[in-house]
Amino acid sequence: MSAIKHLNKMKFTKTGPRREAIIKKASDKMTPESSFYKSNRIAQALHPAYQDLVISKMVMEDEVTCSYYLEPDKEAGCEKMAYFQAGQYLCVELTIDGHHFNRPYSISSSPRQAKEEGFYRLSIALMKGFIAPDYIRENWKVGTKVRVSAPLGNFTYNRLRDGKKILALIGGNGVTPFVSMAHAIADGDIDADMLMLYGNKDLKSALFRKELQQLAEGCERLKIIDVLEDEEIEGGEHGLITTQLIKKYRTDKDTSLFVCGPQAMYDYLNKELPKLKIPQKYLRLEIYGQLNEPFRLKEYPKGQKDKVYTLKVRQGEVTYEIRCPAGTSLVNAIEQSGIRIPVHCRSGYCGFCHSRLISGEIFTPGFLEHRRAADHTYGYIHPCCSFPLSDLEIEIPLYKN
Amino acid sequence: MHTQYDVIVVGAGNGGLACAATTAKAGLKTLLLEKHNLPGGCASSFVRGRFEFEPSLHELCMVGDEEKPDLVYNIFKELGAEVNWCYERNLFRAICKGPGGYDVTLKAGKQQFIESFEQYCPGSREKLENLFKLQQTDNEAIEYIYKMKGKPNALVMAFKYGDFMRMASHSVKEVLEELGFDEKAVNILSTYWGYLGVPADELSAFHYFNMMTTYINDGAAMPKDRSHELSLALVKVIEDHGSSVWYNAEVTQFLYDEEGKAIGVEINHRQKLYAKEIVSNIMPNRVANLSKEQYVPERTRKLMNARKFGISTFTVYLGLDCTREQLGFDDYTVFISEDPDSRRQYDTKGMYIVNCLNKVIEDSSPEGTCTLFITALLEDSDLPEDLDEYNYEKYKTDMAEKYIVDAEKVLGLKIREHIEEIEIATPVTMARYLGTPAGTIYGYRLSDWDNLMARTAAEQADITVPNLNYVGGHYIRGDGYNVAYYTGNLIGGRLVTKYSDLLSAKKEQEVE
Repeated sequence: MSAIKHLNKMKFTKTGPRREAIIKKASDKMTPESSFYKSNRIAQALHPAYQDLVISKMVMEDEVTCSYYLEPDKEAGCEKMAYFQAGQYLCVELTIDGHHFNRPYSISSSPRQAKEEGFYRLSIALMKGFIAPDYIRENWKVGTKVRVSAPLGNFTYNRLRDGKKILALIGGNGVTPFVSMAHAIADGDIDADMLMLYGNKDLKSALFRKELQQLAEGCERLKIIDVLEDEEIEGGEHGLITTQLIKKYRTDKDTSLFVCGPQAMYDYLNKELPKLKIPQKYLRLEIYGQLNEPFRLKEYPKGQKDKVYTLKVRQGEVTYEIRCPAGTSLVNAIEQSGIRIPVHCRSGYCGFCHSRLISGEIFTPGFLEHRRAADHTYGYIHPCCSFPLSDLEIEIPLYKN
Repeated sequence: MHTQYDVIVVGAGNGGLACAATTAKAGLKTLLLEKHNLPGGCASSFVRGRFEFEPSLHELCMVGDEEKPDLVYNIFKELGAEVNWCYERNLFRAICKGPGGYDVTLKAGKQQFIESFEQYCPGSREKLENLFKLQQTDNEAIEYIYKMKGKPNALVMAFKYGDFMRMASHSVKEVLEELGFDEKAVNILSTYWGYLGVPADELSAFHYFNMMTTYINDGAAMPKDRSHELSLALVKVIEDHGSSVWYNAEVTQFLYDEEGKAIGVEINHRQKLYAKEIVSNIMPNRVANLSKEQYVPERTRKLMNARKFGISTFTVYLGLDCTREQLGFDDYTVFISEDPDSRRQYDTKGMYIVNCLNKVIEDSSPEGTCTLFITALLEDSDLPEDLDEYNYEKYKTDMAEKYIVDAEKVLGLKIREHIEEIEIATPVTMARYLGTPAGTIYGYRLSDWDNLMARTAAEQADITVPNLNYVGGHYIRGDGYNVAYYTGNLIGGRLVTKYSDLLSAKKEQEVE
């Protein structure tokens, strides 16, 4: 006897005909494009595959740093730029002597300026003797077309995670994301106080000092303390940004440290900060940037320094064979040989260059180790922070754009 | 034009991976194309600070173990994909706060389940036994239907498998009420409805109980190192057998011959690739968008227009700087709702799930930490009218706060002060990473007229383009990792059979 005998079993025989009837009645119009749906529209607006922009203005901020104002290149079909979170960066595509490179630069303008005035500002130190700055100095003019990524990075304030107060530790050029954050605080787009410990050689080399000062004068949530190596000024600090200074200015427990500066500053803080026993949740370090001299690290294996290895690179149906010195990251060697490889953060974090190590051994420093657990099991690497320790064969993703 | 590949699979989601692994292992030259830089689609992971988060998997059903292997275990084993499975033997805790509410914790294992259920709904024992019996009949019926290659004898069905016909054509609620369960028991037994995205008064009883009994019998399983492990294990099978997976390879056009037969794809607007068979893990809607209009048959268009999309989710991923014990959270899965009725939960999106992976995999986050994973159902049409890219961040942060605060209250936890990392996903996130229309994660809605049995019966009629096959959550079996793997393996297996002559010829060549 069935326990569900009152349910009509013959309904089952109607299932097929009913479905057919519903399909028959439906429209035979082509299905709408994804952009018909709000989710897809917002996803596309925030995360375009790339953005075609054009330089509309250039301002020298000091002797070496130039601010480039970038607007949508309507001729190239870019109608508006992607909105972003203060603290994010763009990857800029560069083609130098037929070779393709890209470099991450923090946006120094505010989200509100992107929204209302339609520009991003990238402030780039044009030091001599470096591939990208040399190229940019010589080639970028008003009217130059530049292709950039969507805004990227997690060096952003989150009110559910971070303290009510931000203590910004800024080393020189590392100021750019904080200029954006300071604007966002002044604009009311970030609900937090920010005290900036701004480290420089002297006051005149402090980039965006005036702009920050003006923002601070108009907004009591912002405060700047100059930390000057070669100069003593009233209300400022003399010397370097040290753990003593952090202790002195981190008076409220609910304060998040946001750090951006040169690699030497990270190296110091990575070593010294743990002594302060500040909970990890209050520590936000901006990505490290391309590591160029792994030899200087204690963990780097001995006897590798002057070696040069053969690197076999598979990409789609093609296999390349190139050379890679032990001190050069795989990404740099690949780019320099003219192969296009997708890469964003160059710090091991974002995983955009996620590649398969088919054979050979690599070195990745511990502090740049952000691979997924299963990547280790199955032999996947982030070539941007991997250095060869033997001849290698790897398979890299295609380059899309 | 020369055919470069035997099989091109578009999309490395669970269905695409399982299909490509199946064809590659059998010796068909297979190319799996993925637009993202990682395999898996939903089955992936992401790193924030010192945490690696599971993006989507709550609990995999139909796994089983070495002793009692089930569908998924067998598929991975046959393919030679090694997974470090971890098991959850508690079923779930369900807390309903409103009138008619309850707080129940149910156990896996048939007898344990009955015992635990009896505590909350005394007098249910016999009814549950009847339910398990019905499920047993269902399995026998399915075996018979497979044996008859999908063309069962109508009389045998009507006389021997009448209960299967009832289960397959009635809703969860109808069956439970007919079994004599009261309202509370019906609501508790419908708790899993969100995993299929359709409330109990519409969801196929056959489909639902099929899923539920495997959770009861096998418990749930999770890979040790997040779903990324599952995906890489399958990628390894593909590559070990001489086939390839290309990342950042976005299909920008599907290619057909003059007769409308699928012959290849174009990727990244530049490279054309050809194959004997194309398998799409991406939804038919996207395939239509990427095909010239004349190659999208009328049946396909009508079917797409008749269907609704499955649900999407709002998810909060939290990395906490305290252990699970310090947090005081003793469950893996807790379903939380205000209203016990699944239809009203669906209409108001008034149900969410809190998971703590450390309960199952203690070291799934660094020492001294744990992760929480809060999931609510949400659809594109639920997004606020005025939502745009400028207020989106605020919207999702405010909404995440609402769920965190509620979870704190209901579970008596202090969450906010421990948040070390947070990430928030919405249908917008799903649209971004999966590329599905409206950010659906479940393919097409398992509406009463378009449920598992109805789709399965119409499978041949729904396939309208020669050499274009579909796999994944949008296919016949609906959503879920388990069935996506199943359809991938099923279609892959069919292609292996179809090209058995070619495979024998290849083998002979190898011998020579």
